[in-house]
Amino acid sequence: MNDSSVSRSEHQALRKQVYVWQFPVRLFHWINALAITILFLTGIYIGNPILTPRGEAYQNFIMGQIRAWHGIFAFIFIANLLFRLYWFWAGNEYSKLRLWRKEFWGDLVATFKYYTFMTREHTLHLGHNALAQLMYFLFIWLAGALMILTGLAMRSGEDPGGVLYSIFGWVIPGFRGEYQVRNLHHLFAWSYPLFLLGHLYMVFRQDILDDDGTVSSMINGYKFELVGSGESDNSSLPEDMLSTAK
Amino acid sequence: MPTRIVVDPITRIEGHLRIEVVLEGNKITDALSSGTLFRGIEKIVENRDPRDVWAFVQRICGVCTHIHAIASVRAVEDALDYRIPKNANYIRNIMTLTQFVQDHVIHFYHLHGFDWIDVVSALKADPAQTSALAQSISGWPLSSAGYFRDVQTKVKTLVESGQLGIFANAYWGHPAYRLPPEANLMGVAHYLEALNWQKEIAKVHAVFGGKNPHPNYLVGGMASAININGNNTINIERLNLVKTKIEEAQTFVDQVLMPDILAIANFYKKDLYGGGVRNYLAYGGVPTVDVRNPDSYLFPGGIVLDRDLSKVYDIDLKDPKHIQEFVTHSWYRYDDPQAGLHPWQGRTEAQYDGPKPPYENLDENKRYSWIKTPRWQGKPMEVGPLARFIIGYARGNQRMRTLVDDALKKLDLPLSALFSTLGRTLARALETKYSVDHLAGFHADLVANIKAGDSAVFNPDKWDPSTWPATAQGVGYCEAPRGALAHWIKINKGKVESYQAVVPTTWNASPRDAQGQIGPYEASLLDTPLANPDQPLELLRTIHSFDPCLACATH
Amino acid sequence: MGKQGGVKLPSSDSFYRWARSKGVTRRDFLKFCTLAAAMLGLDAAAVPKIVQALETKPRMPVIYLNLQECTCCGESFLRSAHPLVADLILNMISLDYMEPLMAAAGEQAEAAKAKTMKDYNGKYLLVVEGSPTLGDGGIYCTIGGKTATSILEEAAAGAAAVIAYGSCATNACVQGAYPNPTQAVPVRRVVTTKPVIDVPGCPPIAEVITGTIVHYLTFDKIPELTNQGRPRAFYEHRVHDGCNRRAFFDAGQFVESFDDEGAKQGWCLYKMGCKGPTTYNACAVTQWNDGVSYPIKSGHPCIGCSENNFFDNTPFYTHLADIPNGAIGFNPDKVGVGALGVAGVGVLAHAAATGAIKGREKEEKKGS
Ligand code: HEM
Ligand code: HEM
Ligand code: NFV
Ligand code: SF4
Ligand code: SF4
Ligand code: F3S
Ligand SMILES: [Mg+2]
Repeated sequence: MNDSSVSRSEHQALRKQVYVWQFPVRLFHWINALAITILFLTGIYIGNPILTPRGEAYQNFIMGQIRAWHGIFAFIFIANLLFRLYWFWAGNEYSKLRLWRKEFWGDLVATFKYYTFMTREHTLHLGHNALAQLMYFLFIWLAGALMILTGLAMRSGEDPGGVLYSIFGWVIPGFRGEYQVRNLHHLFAWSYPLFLLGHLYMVFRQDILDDDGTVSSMINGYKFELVGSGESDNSSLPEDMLSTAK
Repeated sequence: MPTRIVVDPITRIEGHLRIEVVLEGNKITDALSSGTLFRGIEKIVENRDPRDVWAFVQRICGVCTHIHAIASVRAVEDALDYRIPKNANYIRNIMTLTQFVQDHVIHFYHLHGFDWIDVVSALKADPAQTSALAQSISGWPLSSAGYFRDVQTKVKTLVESGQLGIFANAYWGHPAYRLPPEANLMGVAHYLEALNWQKEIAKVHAVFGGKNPHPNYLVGGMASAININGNNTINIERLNLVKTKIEEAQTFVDQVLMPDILAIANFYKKDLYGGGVRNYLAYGGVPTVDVRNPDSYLFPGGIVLDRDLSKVYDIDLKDPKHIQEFVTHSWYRYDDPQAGLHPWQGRTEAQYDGPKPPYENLDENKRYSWIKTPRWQGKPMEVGPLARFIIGYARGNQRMRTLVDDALKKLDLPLSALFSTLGRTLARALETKYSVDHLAGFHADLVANIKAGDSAVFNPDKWDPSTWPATAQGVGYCEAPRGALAHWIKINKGKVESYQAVVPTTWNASPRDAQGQIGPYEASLLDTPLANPDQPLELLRTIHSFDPCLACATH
Repeated sequence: MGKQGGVKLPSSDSFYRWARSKGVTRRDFLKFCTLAAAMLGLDAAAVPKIVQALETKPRMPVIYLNLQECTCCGESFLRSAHPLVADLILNMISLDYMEPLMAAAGEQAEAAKAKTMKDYNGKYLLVVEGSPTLGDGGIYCTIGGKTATSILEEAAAGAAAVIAYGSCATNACVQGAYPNPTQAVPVRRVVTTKPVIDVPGCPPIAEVITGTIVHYLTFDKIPELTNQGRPRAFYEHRVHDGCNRRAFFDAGQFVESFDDEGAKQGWCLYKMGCKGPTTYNACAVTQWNDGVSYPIKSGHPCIGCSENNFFDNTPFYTHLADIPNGAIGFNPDKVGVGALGVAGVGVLAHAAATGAIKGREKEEKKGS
């Protein structure tokens, strides 16, 4: 809680540094951020290729290049997500996403109330709150699955005898034709800047209001927890997951 | 005791046409023409981008493929006051005349031919005499006795096999067939040749429109860029391909179609039934200069009433009193079922209240067709090649007059003979000749214009909808192979607000109007005799002489 | 004379004997077989198979139905150059029913069809052009007083296989576009008990339909199909993947406006709305009208005429179609930018509210 009636030094003293984001999560995060940024930019370029080079066709390969990078980062994006799936299982408590838990939905309501100013206080989290989790689920996992499905289906069309096609070919008739697949791929691409806008706002807002190190946490892994506030929802965490401030 | 006979399906046409006639003795005393297919394309194009609409409405029909696209792009261009480059006009003209020639030849041989030519009689022909006949009327090289014997053998083998395919169950041997076996054999041979040839002339469409059927069009011009030094554009190879196909077409029409029609007409010239309604309408079409300049049209427009060629009336397609569509006997809903609506006010709302299928009969006193009933100042009108030639003749078009006068002289028939089933078919052949002769001219115009340094095929000025007025309305008209065609469009904020097509076969095959006046098909059957009511060959002949297109008529 | 023969072909009779009896030489016959093989995309090793097939098969009866359509597909069929359509319908198959071509009319026409359906039950090929319509009990298309849909059901029941010919038959095409006033549906929706081969296109290339039929005649089985149910030989690849403008696509050289400098250089039509990248058809390879051209070669973008829904994938002249369709939809980029704008405003408002409310809370605390 950003309680400004407490002096800066008192504040520091009351805080405990907690190792929240393990290295693999941070690595995942930044690879993901990079891949998405590049996929979105190259993707939008593919949809609206604005550069028109002169000369003979053989001298230029702009569209081909952009499509190639889109393809490369598509596979990085996919691999990264697969890794993250594994880390849900292998990682620490903060790395989990458990929408099915009762607490999740209660927390979701509470967090929603907090963000709509219906309550003053938010539930305490060292990991992310339920609303954030839901957003990650929708924008990263669901939209990602859709992008991957539609993207791989389009890719597979280049080699209809190939392996990709035998796995993802069904998507094309499933969406009543490749054009719809492509249009949807394009439409859902917009979910990423939309997510990023909300994400950055929330991350910086959180950091400013609570001064809990949220922004830097995705770099060094540490967040701050108020000691003895009694509001922590992480009291059940094993000791070794909490590390004290130096 | 009158009997009622039904012919459904009428075959060798486009689409689904049902004819019912009341017969007293061998005389038809009443007739009903019903279009039994509806798709609702006028509704489907609502709220769409006007620049897209040509592709939708082109699919009204694939037999007169291309022509609805022309009407559509013109409607949009008229609404937006959008001018097209000279080359685009030439190319559109080349494509239109190509379509006339191709469609008319297919009609003459493949859709209409068996009404005049008895295939089974051809088996009795002496190939040597057929050869003599063929060589006496034309210089067409495929005319040896051996050639005709091969054709005969081909047909014989087919018939003997018992698997008659498309020849099965027809009216062979009917007393209304009048050709000697030798002429029948020649007809069969040309049926097959025409089938092979028609695909060649279609290549002209492929050059400019990418494919045939259903070539591509563009509001504001054409998409086929011209760059005579380009290797992926209209260049000299493409122009030569077009030229060659035009020349082949000219030869085919001169050496096969024209001699055939005159030979056949000569045997049937006493059968002058099927005249039908006495009024003729053409909007005019194929602008040699510009669509805004009707004086430049290859086919003059106008109205001839009561077969009186001394006066030609003008048509105003934008005048709400000139052209109206009624639905008194059609399966559509109007607020006032007796009213006639000008197409800018027109509506297409299906409301079927006919019998539940399967049914035996329709009732001419009720609503009985998906075809609406267009009228000019309340009068039924015949449209098509005959109407165009009558109006051209009355307007004093010299070339048309010469064609008509020469043919009638050769057949020793008066001008009034044109008002018949045979006259309709003759006019279509003359129009094929008229069209093919002008094709070469437009090709030359196009080349000359390119040579003069103008390679534009598209005008980008009004392509962007932001340059359009908030609301606009237009009409695009032309002459289609089967007659006068127009599309009316209203545009609102860049989208189609309403769209109505009034199509040649809508005019000709229309059911009764609010006054109970019958349309051209129905009228033409009233004086068509039937020698054998079980085999209504003459009925087919008269109906086919209009070249029915039902997908067009109902859309 | 004039009677429909009741004679069935003796089973020993064959296309080859047939052809020989009509004076076709063995050399011509073999040439034809080689051509047929080339057209089907087969190598020389397959030629003997074709030869053998055609030497031993009788002419197959074909019933061709026209439902809700524009007959353009039928017209395209007539344009076939190899085989010539005259050869196909007179020598290779027995076209027992096809309204636009058959000599008989009315009852006699229907009788011809009924006879084939009876005599060759389970053995005839059914080709369907046009869509069945389900709206209001099928009254939007009737033939002989019967609904086209019931006619289709009846004819399909005794067919060996069904070819849904053209986009009307495979995806209801223009009449199936929004709002589909007549409830036009693909043939597959009505024919569920027989193999249906989809041969889409508006219309398809002539040699694609005749090739599909000849494949069936020759190999006695339906051609291998793509996962969309279309013959692989013609629909396996996208127009884009064999397009003669593809080099310009990869280079990034696009026509920006019809008839501009790029257009005069034959550049790629992608930005003019070309649907080639998502359209599975043989246009770029087989080409139209005996190899003369195809839409893109002649400067117009592909409108995707072999694809489901293509008349709703509009507007045609933009790369992205409106979603859900051209008559009632929105451009995806506009939706995206719009949503982003709304979210941006939302974020700003929320930030302002946060500032105000938290500021007040601070004041309250100070005051307390
Ligand atoms: C395309 C850009 C980005 C994407 C797709 C993205 C995505 C994500 C995802 C999926 C998580 C959850 C991590 C997990 O549980 O595995 C997350 C968390 C986080 N991200 Fe990002 N991120 C992006 C950019 C950024 C940037 C630029 C920053 C910092 C300035 C940032 C800071 C954080 C922080 C601090 C968290 C932890 C938030 C919390 O406590 O809820 N992210 N991000
Ligand atoms: C964050 C994820 C992604 C974003 C934002 C994204 C965005 C885009 C966009 C905007 C387009 C242009 C569509 C158009 O207008 O035609 C596109 C095309 C494409 N994307 Fe993605 N994409 C993503 C992931 C993927 C993935 C995972 C694949 C998988 C292989 C993929 C494959 C493709 C393909 C094949 C195309 C078509 C390009 C072409 O063939 O020219 N994309 N993408
Ligand atoms: N009627 C008609 Fe058409 C023609 N010609 C239309 O405009 O055939 Ni389908
Ligand atoms: S698919 Fe197209 S070309 Fe074929 S009948 Fe239907 S509308 Fe006509
Ligand atoms: S013109 Fe169309 S199909 Fe050809 S390369 Fe360009 S986008 Fe692809
Ligand atoms: S519009 Fe159709 S004809 Fe071929 S190039 Fe496109 S699929
Ligand atoms: Mg209409």
